[in-house]
Amino acid sequence: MKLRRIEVKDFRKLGHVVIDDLGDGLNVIVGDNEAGKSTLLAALRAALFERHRVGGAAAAAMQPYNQSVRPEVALEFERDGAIWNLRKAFCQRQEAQLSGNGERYTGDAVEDKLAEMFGFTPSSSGGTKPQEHHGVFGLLWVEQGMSHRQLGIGAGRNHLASALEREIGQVTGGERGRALLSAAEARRDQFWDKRGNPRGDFKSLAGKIEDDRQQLADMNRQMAEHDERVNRLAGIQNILARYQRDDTLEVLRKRAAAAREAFAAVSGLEEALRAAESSAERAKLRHEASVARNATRQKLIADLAADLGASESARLAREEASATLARLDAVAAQAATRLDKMVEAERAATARLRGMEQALARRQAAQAVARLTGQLKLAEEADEARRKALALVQGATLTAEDLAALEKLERGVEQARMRLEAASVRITLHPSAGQAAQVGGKPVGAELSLSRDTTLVLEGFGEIGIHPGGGTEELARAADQSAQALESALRRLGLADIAAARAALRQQDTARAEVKTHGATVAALAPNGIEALRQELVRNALLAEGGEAQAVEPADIEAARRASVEIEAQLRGAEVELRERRNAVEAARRELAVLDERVSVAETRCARLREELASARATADDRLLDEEVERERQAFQAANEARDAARAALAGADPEAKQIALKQAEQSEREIEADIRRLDVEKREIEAALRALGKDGLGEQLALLEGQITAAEAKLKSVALEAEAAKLLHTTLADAQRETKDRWLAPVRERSAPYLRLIQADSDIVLHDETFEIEQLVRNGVAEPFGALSVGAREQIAVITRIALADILREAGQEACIVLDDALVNTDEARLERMHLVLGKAAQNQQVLILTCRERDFLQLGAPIRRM
Amino acid sequence: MAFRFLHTADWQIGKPFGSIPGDAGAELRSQRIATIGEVARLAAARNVDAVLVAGDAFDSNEVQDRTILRTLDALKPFSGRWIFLPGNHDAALAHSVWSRLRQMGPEENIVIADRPQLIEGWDGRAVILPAPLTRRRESLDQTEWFDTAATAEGAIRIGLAHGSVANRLPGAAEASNEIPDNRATTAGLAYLALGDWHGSLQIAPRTWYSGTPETDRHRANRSGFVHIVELDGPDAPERVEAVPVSHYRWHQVEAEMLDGTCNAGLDALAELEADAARRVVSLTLKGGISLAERYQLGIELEKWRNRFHHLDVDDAGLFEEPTDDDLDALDSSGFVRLAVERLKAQAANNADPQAAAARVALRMMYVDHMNGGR
Repeated sequence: MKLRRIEVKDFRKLGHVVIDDLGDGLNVIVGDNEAGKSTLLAALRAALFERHRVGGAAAAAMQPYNQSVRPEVALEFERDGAIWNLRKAFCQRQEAQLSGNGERYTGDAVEDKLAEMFGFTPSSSGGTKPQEHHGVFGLLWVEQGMSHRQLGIGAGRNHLASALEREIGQVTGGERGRALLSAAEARRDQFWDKRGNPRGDFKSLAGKIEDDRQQLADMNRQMAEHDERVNRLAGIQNILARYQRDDTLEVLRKRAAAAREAFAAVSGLEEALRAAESSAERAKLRHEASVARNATRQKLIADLAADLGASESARLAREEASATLARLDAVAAQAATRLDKMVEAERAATARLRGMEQALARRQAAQAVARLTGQLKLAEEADEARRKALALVQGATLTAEDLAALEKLERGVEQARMRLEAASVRITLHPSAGQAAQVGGKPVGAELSLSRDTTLVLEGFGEIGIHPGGGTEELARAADQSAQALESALRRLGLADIAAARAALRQQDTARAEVKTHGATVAALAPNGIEALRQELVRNALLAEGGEAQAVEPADIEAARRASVEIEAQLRGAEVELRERRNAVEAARRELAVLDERVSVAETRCARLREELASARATADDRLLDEEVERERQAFQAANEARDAARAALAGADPEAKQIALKQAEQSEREIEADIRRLDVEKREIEAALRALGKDGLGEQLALLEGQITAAEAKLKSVALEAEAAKLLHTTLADAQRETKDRWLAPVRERSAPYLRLIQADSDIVLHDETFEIEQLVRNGVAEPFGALSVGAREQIAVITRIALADILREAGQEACIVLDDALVNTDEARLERMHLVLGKAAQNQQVLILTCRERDFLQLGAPIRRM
Repeated sequence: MAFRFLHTADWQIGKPFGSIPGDAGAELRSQRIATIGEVARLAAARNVDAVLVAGDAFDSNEVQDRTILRTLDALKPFSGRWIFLPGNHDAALAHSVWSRLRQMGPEENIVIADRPQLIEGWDGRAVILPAPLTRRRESLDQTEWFDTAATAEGAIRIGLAHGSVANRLPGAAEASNEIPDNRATTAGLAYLALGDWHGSLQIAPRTWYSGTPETDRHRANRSGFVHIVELDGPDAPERVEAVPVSHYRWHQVEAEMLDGTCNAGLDALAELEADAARRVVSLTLKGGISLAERYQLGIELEKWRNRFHHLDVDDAGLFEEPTDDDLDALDSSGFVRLAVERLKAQAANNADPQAAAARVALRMMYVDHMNGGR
C-alpha cells in the first residue's frame, strides 16, 4: 500500500489538513510541536482500523477538546496498482465509503473489506490497539516516543510468520515444542547440574554405591579376619584335644622325673673321676721332681769330666804354640841378615852407576863447547853484517816517492821539450862546400831546430832572420821551467841527476835485504839470542872441566843400570820376606797368650766342679738318687691307672646323654605347659571376639549389603541411562530448535544486514523466533540484549528491523508504507546521517512517511517536504 | 514299629534378599522364620516322631543373635526332637551358628548333629546317621561311615546328609560335598534325607531332597515343600508326602511382544493375578513396541508393581519403535519433529553408543508429551 493523499477534518486538534502528492519513496511531513503531526498518524489509524461507528472513549478521543464535531478522514492509497479512496466520518452522522479497482463499499462493509485487504482483525467493540488490531501497520507505523521500544509486533506476527514460511516453508515447534523442551530441560536438570556433573539422586546413588562398596570391602575384610579366627580356633581346639587325648602333660612329667633320677646317679662317678685325676696329677709331679734331681747329679759328673778333658787339651795346644814361636823367631833372624847384605849390594851398584853417568856427561859437554864456539863465531859475524846494513838503511833519506816525483818532473821536462821541438822551425842546411853557417857567432850543424827568433848567418850569403811563429816562445819558457823544477828537486835531494837517484834507491833495497838475511842467520844459530848462546858455551865449558875423562860407553851404563834395578828388586823381596816372617812370629806369640789364658780358665773350672760334686755326694750319694726315681715312677703309674679306671666308669654311664635327656624332658614339660596355657588364653579370646562379631550378624549384613549393591548398581545403570537419555533429549531438542530458528530467522538477518552495514559494520540482529521481538544485537561477535543498548542505538536498530520486516512483507505481497513519527530523536548527528542513508535505501523499494518537528534534520534527505 | 518324621532342609534363615529393596525384602527375610513356625505346627499336627533338618538351616554362620533366637522361638510349637545337620552354609566350624546356639542354652529337644555319631532314641525304632559338614566344602564323602555303622537289630536306619548326589544333579556342579547315589543301598538306609537342592525331589532310590520350605529364588524347581515321611520298617518302602508350606510364590515370566503391542507382557502378568500379594515376579520383556504402547505398558507395570509382592522388570530386550502415529502425536512439524527423527535414527543405529539413551529419550519425550509437556 502506498498513501497518496491524506485529508483530515476536525480530528482532535486538526481543523483541516490536506497532504497530497505523496511520492513512492521518502516523504517528510514537518509539523512544529503541537502542530498535530502525531494526530495525523492517529487519524490515519482511525481511518484504516477504527470502525466508523465506534463510540465511547475511542470516539471521544477523536473530538477536539471540549467540542462536539464530526471528525472526518479521507485517504487515497494505491494497492496492487489500483487507486483506492477511503473516507470515514466519526461521532456524528458516521459514515464510511471505500471505492477503487472498480469496487465500492459503504458502511460496515468498508471495515470488512479493509480487514480483508490488510489482514488485520478489527476490534469487536470499542477502540483498537495497534498491536492487537492493526496487523502489520501496528509494526510499521511508529508513534512518537515509541521508536526505541520493542517492536510490538503483536498482530503483525502472523503476517510475518506466513511471510517467512513462504520463504523457508517450515514453522517452529510452537507452544507444544517449547513445552517439550522445557520439560526436557527440567528432566535434564534433575540429573545434571550446570557444569554437567551428576546431581541429586543420580549423584547420591553413585555416592551411595561407592560408600557401600567401601563398607563391603570393610566387611569382607572383617569377614576374612573372622574366618581366620575361626580357622585359628579350630586349630587350637585340635591341638588341645590332642594334648588331652594323649595325656601329653602327665607323660612328660613322668619322663622328667625319671631323667632327673638317672642324672643324679651319674654325678657320683664324676666326683670319683675328679679325685683320681687330682691324685694322678700329684704323683706325676713327684716323679718328675725325683727325675730332675737325678739328672742334675749326672750332669755335674759329666761336666767335670768334660772340663778335665778340655784343660788337658788346652795345655797341649799351648806347648805346641810355644815351639812354633821359637822356630819362627829363628827364621826371621835369617831373613834380617839377608836383607842387610842386600842393602849393601844395592848401595854399591848405585854408586857405580852414578860415576858412569857423570863421565858421560862431561864428555858430552866438551863436545858441546867445540860446537857452540863455532856457532857463536858465525852468529857474531852475521850480526855484525846485519848491523852494518841496518845502519845504511837507517841513514838513507831517499824514498820511492821521491824518485817517483823526480821521474814525473823528468817526464814534464821531456814533454815540454817535445812540444817545443814540434813547434820549432826545422831547418836543414845543405851548404855548398865549405861554406858554413853560424848563429850568434857559433857554427851550426846541417840541421837546425829553432824555437825563437834567430839570426842565421850563412856564409856566403849573409844572415837569415828566422822567426818561428805559433807560441814557441811560450813553449820554450815552459820547457825551461820544467828543467829548472827538476834541477831544484835534484839539488834538494843532493843528487846529481835522476840516474843517481835510482842508484841510491837500489842500494837501499840491497841493504834491507841483507838485514833480513843476516837476522835469519843469527836466529838460526842462536835461537835464544847470542848472549844465551854465549852462556851455554860457558856452562858447557865449566862442565867439561870437572873430573877426569873416563871412557864410558852408553851400553855400559845401561848394563850398570839393569844390575842396579835387579839388586833393588831383590832388596824389596828381602824386605817383604822379613816383614812376613815377623808377622808370623807376632801371630804365634798372640796365640800362645790366648792358650795360656785358656789353660788357666780350664783349670779353675775343674777345681770348682770337683768341689761341687764332692759337696753333693756328701748329702746324698748317687745310688740313693737312683732308688728314689724308681720309687716315684711306680707311684705315678699306679695313680694313672686309678684315674683311667674312674674315667672309664664315668664314660660307661653316658652322663651327657643323661643330661640332655633331663634337659629335654624338663623343657618339654615347660613348653607344653606354656603352650596349653597360651592356647587356652587365645581360645578364650577368639571365642569372645567371635561371639561379639556373631551378635551383629556380620554374615547377614554382608550378604544384605552385597544384594543392595547389586540392586543399586542395576539401579544406577538404569538411572545413568535415564540421565544420559535426559541429556540427549534436551540436547537434541535444543539443537533442533536452534537450527530451525536459525533457518527461520535467516531472512530477517539477510534483509537487515544491508541496512545494518550502513550504521554498524559486522553486526547482526537476533529476533525471537516466536514473537519476532528483538532479542539481541550481536556486534563483533559480542551479543548484547536489546534492553541493554542505549536509547539511540535501540531506536536505530528498531527502525532498521522494521524496514527489514517491511521488505519481507512486501516481498510476500503485503506491501505497506512505513510511518515514522519523530522516530530518531535520540540519534546523534553522525548516526543520523547514517540513518538517512538507511532511510534512503529503504525508500528505493518502500514508501516511507517521516513525521518530524525537526525540518532541519531532514533537509539533506532529498525528499519532498510538506509542512502542516 | 513304624517311624514318621518330617524331612526339611535349606531354610537359609537370615538370607537377606538385599537386591529386593525396602519392605518387600524385609518381609521376605522375616517370612523365612514365619514359615518355620508353620513347619513346626505341621510337625505337631502330624504328630511326627522327629523333624530332620538336612543342612543349611541358617544362611550363614554369621547371622545375628536375634535371628538365631527368633528361629528357636519359631520351633516351639513342635516339642519333639529337632535334629539339625550342619550344611555348607552353616558348617560346624570351630565357631559356628551351632556353637553359638549351644551357648544360648537351647531346649533339650534341639539336637545338633555336628558329629558323625548315631542318634538314637524313639524306643529303638529308628536310628539317625548324620553326616555333618565341618567345613564348607568337604572333598571326602562324609556318609561313608554309614556303611559300617552298626545299629540295633530292627532299628530303622535313616541317613541325614547335605550335598549333591554324584552324577545326579548336574545343576550342582560343585565337586565337593558329594554323596554317592547308592549310599542308601550300601548303608542299608530306609531313607536318606538330603539337603542342598532347593526343590522337592527323589534323586535316587530311598534318597530324597525335601527342598526349601520357603522358596527363595526364581527357579522352576518345585520348592516350598516339606516331606512327611512314613517308614513302616527297616526295609519297608518309604511313603513320602510333599506338603506345600511356602508363603511366597516366585515366578519367572518372559514375554515377547511381536505384534507391536504390550499385550503379551500384560497377559502374562494377568495370569498371576490370583493371590498377587504373595507373588514375587521377575518379568523379562522382549520385542519392539510403539511409544504409545510403551507408555501404556509403563502405566500398567506400575500398577502390577504395587499389586505383586515384588516385581522385577528386565526390559533390556525391549525396544521402542516409534511409529508415524507416535511421531505425529509428538509433533508433525517444527523442531520437535526434527529432534524425534534424529533420536529415532540414533536409536535404530546399534553402532551408535547412544542408541540405548536415544530409545529412552524417545520414551521420555513421549511421556512428557502425554503429561502435557510438564
